[in-house]
This record gives sequence, C-alpha cells and structure tokens, in this order.
Amino acid sequence: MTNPMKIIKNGIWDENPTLMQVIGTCPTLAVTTSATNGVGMGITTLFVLTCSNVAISLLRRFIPDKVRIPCFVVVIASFVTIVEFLLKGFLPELNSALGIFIPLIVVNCIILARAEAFASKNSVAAAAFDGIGMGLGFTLALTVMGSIRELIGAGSVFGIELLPEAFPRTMLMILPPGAFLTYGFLIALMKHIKEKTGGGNR
Amino acid sequence: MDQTENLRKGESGVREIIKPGIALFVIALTAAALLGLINYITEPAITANTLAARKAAAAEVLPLGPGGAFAEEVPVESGGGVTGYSAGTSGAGTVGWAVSVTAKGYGGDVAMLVGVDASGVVTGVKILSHKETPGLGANAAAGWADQFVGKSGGLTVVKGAAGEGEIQTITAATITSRAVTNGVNDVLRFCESELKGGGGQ
Repeated sequence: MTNPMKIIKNGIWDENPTLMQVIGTCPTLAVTTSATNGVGMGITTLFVLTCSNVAISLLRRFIPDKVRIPCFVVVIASFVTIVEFLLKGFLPELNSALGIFIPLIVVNCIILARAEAFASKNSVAAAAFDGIGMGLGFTLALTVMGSIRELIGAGSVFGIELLPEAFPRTMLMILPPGAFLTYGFLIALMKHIKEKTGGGNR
Repeated sequence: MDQTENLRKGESGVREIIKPGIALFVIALTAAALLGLINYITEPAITANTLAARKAAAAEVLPLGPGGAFAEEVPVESGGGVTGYSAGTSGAGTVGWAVSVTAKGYGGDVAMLVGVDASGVVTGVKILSHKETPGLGANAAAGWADQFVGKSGGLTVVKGAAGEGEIQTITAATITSRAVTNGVNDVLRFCESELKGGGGQ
C-alpha cells in the first residue's frame, strides 16, 4: 500500500469514508443541506485530515501504544485549534466561508479513525496520500448528498435555480429526515454498483 | 530466585506506567506551549478583524455617508434583548445607532444588528447568526428583513399583506418572524427611552 494513486483511489471509492466505512456521519447529516455546504465541509476536512495524518505519522514512533488514543486526541485538537486561530487572524475571508465547519471537524471521527487505522502505522508520505484520498472521498460524498437534498428541497444546486417555479419543493429533504433518506439511498446505490462490478466480494 | 523475578517484574510494571505517562505529558506540554504561542501571535489580528467586521456590519445597517464614523460599542445590561449599541456620527452630529440585539428564535438565539436613525426609524436589519430551520426560518436572513427599513414605533406580525406598522411573516416560520420583529421592537423601544433624549452618545 505505498502506491499513491492506489491509496487515493482507496479513499475515494473502495473505502469511501462516508459511504463504505460510514464514519463522520454527524457532520455528514448535519451540514449537507446544500451543495455549497457539502463542498465547504469536505475541503476543510481534506486539509485538516491530511495535516493531522502527517503529524500523527511523524510522531508514531514517539507515541507509546498504551496511551495512543489520548495522544491522538491532544495532537488533533491542538492542530484544529491552531488552524482555526490562523484562519481567523490572517485569512478572514477564507474564515468567513469555511470557519463554521472547523468546530465540527473536532468532533469528526474520520480524523481519529484515520490516525488510528492508517497514519499511526504508515510512512509520512503514505499518511499524507491517505489524508488526501479520504478527504476527497468525503468531499465527493458530501457534495453529492448536498446537491440531491438542495435540488429536491429547494429546487437549486450550488444556489442556481434548476427546477421550474411551479415544481413543488419538498422541504422534508432539507430537514433532518431528508439527510437520513438521502444517506440511506446513496449507501444502497453504492453497494449495488459494487456488487454489479464484482468489487463487493474482493 | 522468586524474589528477584518478582522484583524485576515490579520494576518493569512501574516503568510501563511511567514511560507512557511521561510521553503523554511531553505531548500535552508541547501542544499547550504551541497553542499559547499561536494565541499570542494571532490574538491582536483576530481582535482587529472582529472589530472591522462589526464596523462593516454597522455601516451596512446605518449608512453614514462620507466622513461618518461609529463610536465604540457600549454594552447594555438591561434593555430587553438589547446587548449593546454604537452611535454613528457624521459632521452634523449623531446620525443614529447600530444596536446589537438577541431574540429567541425557533432553534435558538437569533443575533441581529439593527440600524435606527436619530428620528427612530429603522434603517437596516442584519441577522448576524441564527440556528433557524434551513429553508424555513433561515429565509429571514435572506432579504426578508429588508421590509423593516423605514418602519418605526411598535411593529406587529401579520400573515398576508402588511400595512403601516406591520411585518409580513415568512410562510411556515411564524416563530422566527415574531422573534426578529420582537428584537426590532426591543431596539426601537430602547432607542426611544435611552438614546433619543440625548442620554446616549
């Protein structure tokens, strides 16, 4: 597992964090009320995940096995806070677009899950690619979910009106139940495609 | 024989507790030091940005024209939901006030900035943060609040076309509409009793 393309494809498709591993569901369900939100949360996570993977991988020989979870939590929480401070202080425009997603990342279990499952056992480069792959997979899944919910619920995608005025908007899709419905159907679709292509019984 | 083995075991047991403990301590200490350093570096910039954002929002709800400036925000303790105000002045004197107010919405607090001119007429309402339902109450932040501009006195919420002193609700979001209107009323009442008489500068 050192081929960068293989690691990235693994994150996007084979082990997509949202649709295959079903981790990081809390932000997934909460923020995907629009396509724009999905992209914003995804990109922010991509960045933080890649950096925290690198940090954990660098420290993997220093961190004792017995206390690795508290160590990961300290490293990740400090890291997210530092990013938040820097964004607020020096990139206020970017902060106003992505800032609301940063507190949600602290509670995003994708970060901890990848630290535990991958970064703490692999080289720095591999960990960075894993972060990029998982981040892209998360971004794609959230963008698709956000687009579906925004289209059916508000008639638009990325804020651009697509459905005619007369078409009824189904408010349910933007509300929490719509998140679960979309999520369920997407996971089913993903499983179906995997079985058809034989990817499911590897 | 037995004794020495036990002794050795005990020693390694203690070491197994102390070693990870020290490692965790070092990591936590480094993290804390790093956070302190970053906080020290970024704090002035963050404060400046927050102030600039407030001034920009104030200018949005209360246009001052050229040469106008806002005073430092004065905190308010008891004024309904009003939490603070900042007087806007131009060459001719006080133009009006940008008043911060918090109202209880459907999903939580709705924080707003309301501009009121010297004669007690609303010049702008900006919703700064809210937790209202997306697609329903959240529509309040998207243009709906513009209908407050030009209104004064006590405002009431109505369904359907709004007349003098009335605000039309957002469909299926009466609670949010009422919350925002109550917030604006709090501000108008506060301006009337505390600011207009020249009490606040």
